[in-house]
Formats: sequence, structure tokens, C-alpha cells
Amino acid sequence: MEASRGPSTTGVDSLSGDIWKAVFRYLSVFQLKKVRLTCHAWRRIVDVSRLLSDQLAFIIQCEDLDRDFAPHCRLPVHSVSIFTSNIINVNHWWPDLGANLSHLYLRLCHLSLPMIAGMLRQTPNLNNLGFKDIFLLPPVAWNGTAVNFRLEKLSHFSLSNIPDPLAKLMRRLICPRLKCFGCAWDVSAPQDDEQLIIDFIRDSQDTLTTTRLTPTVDILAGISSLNRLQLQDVTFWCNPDQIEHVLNFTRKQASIEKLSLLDLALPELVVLQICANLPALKHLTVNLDYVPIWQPSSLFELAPNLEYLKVNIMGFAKFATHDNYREYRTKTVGDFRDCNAPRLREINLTDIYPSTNLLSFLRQCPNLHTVLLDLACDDFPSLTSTLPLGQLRTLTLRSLTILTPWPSNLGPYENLRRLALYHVRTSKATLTQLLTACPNLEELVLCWIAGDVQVRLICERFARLKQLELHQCPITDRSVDALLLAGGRALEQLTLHGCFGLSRAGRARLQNTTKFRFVEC
Amino acid sequence: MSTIKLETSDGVKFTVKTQVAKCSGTIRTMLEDIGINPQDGEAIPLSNVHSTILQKILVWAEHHVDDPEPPRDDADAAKRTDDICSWDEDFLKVDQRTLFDVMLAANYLDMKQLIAVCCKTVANMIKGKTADQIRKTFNIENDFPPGDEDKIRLRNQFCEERR
Repeated sequence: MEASRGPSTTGVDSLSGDIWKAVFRYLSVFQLKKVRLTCHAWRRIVDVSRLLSDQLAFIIQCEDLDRDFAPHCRLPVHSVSIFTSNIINVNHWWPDLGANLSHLYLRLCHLSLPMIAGMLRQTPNLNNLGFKDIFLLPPVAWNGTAVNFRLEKLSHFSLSNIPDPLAKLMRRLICPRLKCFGCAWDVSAPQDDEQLIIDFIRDSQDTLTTTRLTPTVDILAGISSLNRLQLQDVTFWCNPDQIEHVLNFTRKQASIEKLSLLDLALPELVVLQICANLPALKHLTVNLDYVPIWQPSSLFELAPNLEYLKVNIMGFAKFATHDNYREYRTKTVGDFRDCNAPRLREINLTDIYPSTNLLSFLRQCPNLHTVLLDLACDDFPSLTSTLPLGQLRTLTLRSLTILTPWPSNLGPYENLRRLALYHVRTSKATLTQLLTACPNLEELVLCWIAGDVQVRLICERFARLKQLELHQCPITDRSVDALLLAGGRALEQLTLHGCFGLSRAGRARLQNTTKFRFVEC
Repeated sequence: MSTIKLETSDGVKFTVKTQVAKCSGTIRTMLEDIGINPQDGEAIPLSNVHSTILQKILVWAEHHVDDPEPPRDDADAAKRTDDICSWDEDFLKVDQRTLFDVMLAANYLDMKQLIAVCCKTVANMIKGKTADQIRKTFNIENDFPPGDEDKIRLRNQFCEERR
């Protein structure tokens, strides 16, 4: 019978590399590394497919990159970051690494122009390049023949605090069809040239869709006048003097779908005007000036396509230091009456104390799957009944106290994959109830509240848990066995921040396991 | 209801509802683009598929014939392997060789849903195992020289995961 089945052979060889690649696509980095260790054939499939290398970054830190330096990395990685290093001569190893490279990021590095030009020449597949805080080594000039090439595939470029000659060199090497451009313009760094930044954007204005800038007034005015520029994704770090200019800018850029305005607090009226200017808006991240009552119904009306909303009330935060933070946190009441956001998928509210109508609002968002609430409140009795946990995939709660027990008759919340509780005070019993109601968790972050008993419960209960992160939790060596048991199942990464109850021996057992990746801060 | 005939590599002929046969992208293309006319009564030759495997695949296709097109979801959801429906789970409870043969045939017949569900099943056989356990599961010979594995593991460590 077996023989009559035709030519197919037994074993893994019968499937082609393409089919194995399709299988490996379902594996995480952690599992792919194990697959790479099984045999030559599978190692080749993983390496050629770039399934793993696309997710890995090779980091070089604090090195003199001269003739004596040789990188440890032999994987065909896709991304290299070089931090705080002197790039003197990399000619003996760069060509091997550069051939596969698509991402390169340099920060706090000293380099010479001919050396960086040579590196870029040997990185033909580069599509993502970033420079931050770069200092020049001699010689600071380049000659024409050394730069008679272009970075044909480069689509993402960012620069911040780099010397003028390097920026000029980059303008020569970059093809004017960038998709994404970023620049943190540093007022205190006299060498940054505003006109140069406008020039980069003007060169690529037909293709540019994404910018991340700390704009000055001149930069905003300069790019507002570019007629062919049609941005979709914009992040600005700006200051209060620029509100009017930002508003003008949004009038010119009706194509924007994602807008993040960071570092400054906006009056509510300005936010509404911005929404009115941007009919295609899907993602919005803003900070609001303090208002006693925030009623977002007009915002949702003006931005009916909103899928992601992150709002942070910046009240008296400027007076707050770490110690008195809680007492200076403002209490803005979010009144969600008449709100309608049919497309909303993610909502992220900081310092907005929701009134009870949050429940009916969240319930009628059919696509909502991710909620973050950072309330700074000491008890929010309706919280437990407010969250539509049945439909959520991700829930993050920060800075609040839950006194009321979690209703035991609710749940199970089968969709919830990620739960993070930061600075949440609650009883162990309530925590246990909540955890019991979420059987399919894959990621869990707990701060303060998990002891040995909870860790054992977590490790035994969640067969699918892939990542566990514990911050300042009073766990002891009694948790080690439970954690190692979870490692035999799905757990791939354990992160501990300031859990000082573990002995050196207990820590060593976690460090030595090959069952999961152990990260400790 | 219209039917067509399929002939497997070992010469067995199957009469199949056209709608069921069209779960296969390969057969669909033959019928629609190349213009093979099933009314002629001539069987479409499937030279890479054995009758035992085709029989099994037809059972799957019959069960899933009315499935809606899968939604194009984000990459995050696409990586999940715990969403295999219980019918498929039972269907794929077969020995490894049959599973591989089904995958090969599904690949040849271009049946994306069946390939996906098979790939998830095999991925689940890899998950949570050490390299050694993976070798045992799939009967793979360790062809690395002794000590090489440690070297690779060491090199792996110098690479950090990207966010």
C-alpha cells in the first residue's frame, strides 16, 4: 500500500523549500532560531527566505571600527545600527554585510566623508537610512568619482544634528523619490540648516508620504508652499508658538490620514479646526489644554473616518515633579454623550476621567479592539462594567485603583490577547478574578501586584502565554519553577524589571534556560 | 448540477461537482482561462496527485465549498496558528507522510485555504520544541559537525530582535 502511493518520498525532503517557507512564516523569531539549529537544509531555507534576518538587527556599540575590528555577526542581517563608535576603516568586512542590508542607522558616531560614501556604495539595497548626532573625522571633503552613484532603493531617510558637508553629500546621493523623511531640528545645534531640510522635502515632493519633523516656523512655511506635496502621515514635535502655522499647514495638506502633534497642548477649538481641514483623517494623536469637561462628540463628527485616537490632557503637568505628580494631575471629565465613531479600532485616553456614558460609547464601536486608559483616579467603580472586554484584543490600564471586585459572572473574554496593568492598585482576589476571565492571553504585563501565587496561577493557567513582563513584583525563587514550566509551553520571553526578591541562584536558573529569552533590567 | 471528471496519477477517475473542483485554483484556471470544456466527458489529468490523496482533498473541498473568501487581515492575525477549526483539526489528524502529501497536492492544485491550514498544523508541531525535539518529530538527521550548533547559537545571540 505504501509503495503504491507514487513517487513521493517520506520525510521533510518531500516538501519544497517554498512550502517550508510557508510553514516557517507562522513562527516567531524565537522559534525560527531553533529551526535554524536543526539541519543545513532548514538553515538555508530560513536564511534565504529572510524570514529571520528581516526581524533581526545587528547592533555595534562603543567600538573603534578599524582594521582590528571584526563583527561577530554571520547571519545575513537586514538591519545594522552603529552607536557611539568611531568608523575608521570597515573595508575588510562591510562589503559582506552591506550586500544584504536594507536598514542602516548611525548615532553618535565619528566618521569621514570618504568612508561613509564607500560604505553606502557597497550597500546597494539600502532603503532606510538614519543619521543622528554625527561628527566628522578628516578628510571632510569628497571627490567626484567616489560619489558617482545613487542610493536607488532608498525610500526612508532621517537626519538630526549632522554636519553640513554630510547633509550636502546625502543630497547628492539620494534619488529624489523618498517616501519618508524625518528630521529632529535642533535649535541649539547651529550647524543644522533649515533651508537644507526644506530642500530635501522639495526634492521628493512628488513621492513623499510621511514626514516626522521638529519644524521651525520657517520650515512649516517653506513646506506649506510646496504645491505638489501630498502627505499622508505627519508627526510634528512642536511648541505653542507654532499652533497657527500648523493649522495653516493642515489647510494645504488635505490628504493627511495620520497626524501626531506631540510636545504641545492644543486648545480644543484648534483640534476641531484641524479635523475639519483633514477629511481623510484616520489616526490622530494630540494633547489637549486642560478643560473641566471634554465632550468629543464634535471631534468624531468632524473626523468620521477616525480609526485611532490618542488624547492626553496636558493640564498642570508642567508644575508636576515626580513626587507630587498625582496631586497635580488634573481631572478632566470625558463626556461621551452623542459620540459616534463607527470605524474606531483603538482609543488611548490619558488623564481623562470618563463619565459613565463611556460604556454606551465603547459598546457601539463595532471595530474597537484596543483600549488604553490612564486615569489617575483612586476608584472608578463603573470600570469593571464599562469595558466591553468581550470584544477587546488589547487592554492597558494605568494609574488607577480598582476597589470593586471584578464581576465573576462576566467572561470568559476569549478575544483578549494582551493585558497590561501599570500602577494599578487592586486586591489579589480581584486580580485573580480578572486573570481567570481571560483564558487566551498571549502577552501579560503586571506592575507591583503579582506575587508568587499569582505567577504560579499565570504560568499554570495560560497555555498560550508568549510574553510575560513583571515590573517591581515581589516574587521569590518559588516562582522560578513555575516560570520554567511555562517555558516548556508557549512562553518565549520573560522580562523582569526591578524584581529584587530573586536570589542569585534563582536568577541564574532563568538566565541559563534555553526555553525562553530572559531579559532583565 | 454540473460535474467534471478528474484523473489521478494512478489512473483513477473521479466525478466531481464543478463547484467543488473549483476550490482548486489550478482546475479553475483550466476551466475558465484555458477553456477546457468539461461537457466533453474527458477527464482532466492531475498527474501529480495520487488517488488516495485526491479522495481526501475532495472531502475537505466538499466541506469547505461554501466558505466565504478569507478577510485580508493584518499581519498580526495572520501569524496565529490557534485558529484552526475543529473539523480541520480532525481532518488533519493523519500520519506525517499523508499530511505532507496533502500539502504537496494542495500546493499543486493551488488551494490556498487548505495550504494555510496545513502550514499552521505543521507550525504547531514545531512550536515549543527545542532543536533536538524538532529533529525527532520530523526525523531529521543532525548534519552539523559536533560543536557547530553551539557556535551558531552563540552568533544568534549577537543579534537583537527588532521592535
